[in-house]
Amino acid sequence: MITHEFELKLQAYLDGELPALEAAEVEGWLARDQEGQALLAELRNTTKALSAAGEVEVKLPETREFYWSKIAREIERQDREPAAVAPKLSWFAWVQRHLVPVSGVALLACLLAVMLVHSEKSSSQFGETELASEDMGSYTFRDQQQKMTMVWLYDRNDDSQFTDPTAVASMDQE
Amino acid sequence: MKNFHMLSVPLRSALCLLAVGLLAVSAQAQELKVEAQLIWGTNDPLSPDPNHKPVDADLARQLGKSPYRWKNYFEVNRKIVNVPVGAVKSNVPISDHCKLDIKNLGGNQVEVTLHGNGKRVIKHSESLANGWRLILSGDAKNDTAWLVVIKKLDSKGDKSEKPAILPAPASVLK
Repeated sequence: MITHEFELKLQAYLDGELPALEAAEVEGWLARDQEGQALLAELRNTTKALSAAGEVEVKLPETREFYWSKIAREIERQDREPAAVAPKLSWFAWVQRHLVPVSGVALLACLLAVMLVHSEKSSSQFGETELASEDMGSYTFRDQQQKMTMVWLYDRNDDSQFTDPTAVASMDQE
Repeated sequence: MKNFHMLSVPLRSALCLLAVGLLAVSAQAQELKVEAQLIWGTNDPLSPDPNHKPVDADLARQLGKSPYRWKNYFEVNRKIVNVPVGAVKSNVPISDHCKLDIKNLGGNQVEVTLHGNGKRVIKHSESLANGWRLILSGDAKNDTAWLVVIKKLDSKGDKSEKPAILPAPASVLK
């Protein structure tokens, strides 16, 4: 049975990339194995077909082992190097980087302020009065412009002129 | 600052939001400095008590806009109390016969209970935000009136917050 590793080795043999010792091993194996010979013939036909179609054959400047060992060494070298230091940000990049959270916070602060002002306004519009006695009555006067709430208390049983707010207002002689 | 930069943007945003929230909560949790004034309204040009002094022009103008108007207003007594959030300042003497309970409900809201001759007369809740005044009032002898004016003072200081403890005549409150 032909393994994938042998398939790759056979392709390298066909491309002339194997060292002499390995090439001799492959030739010896091919002499004994018909399946390998068939695969080699198929690979040759494919190479010819590609050449006929104008496919440029790329030859590696070095052997396969050396080529892969270079890649392995480069990976090892990069692993050994410390993590690269982040480049210093310019002031514009710094502003841009912090603009998103800062603007988010500013937006939320504005919302909180609006809610706070609104709650203060709404709460100032609703005063609650609780009289201790049923004999007592009250008139509540609220003036948004003057920013005041006046609660006028009166005795329900007292029939004096002060119990009627219109009577009280008429006292003003100005 | 450097360590703060190492945090992710969402985490930084969350921290900023938390800080804003804490500031808002702490602003709400401040104690309230409340001024209570006992005022006597009369059409007479002078008060029989030389210790009484006319109220300031701003308050006189405000009172003059209410439906219960007198020609002159004299300050009989003034008290300033600091009330922490959720706490009550009980039995604040505003005159010989009248006491106040002032509760700080938070968010500049107060609940004021007026006691006359040891009995609860009225309980009223109001927001004192933005210079709002709460005035509890009623008629007194000889076509005069009593008024208890309650307002929030700026915690940094207010020109009108000098304590002016004046003797309150029994005739002012019924």
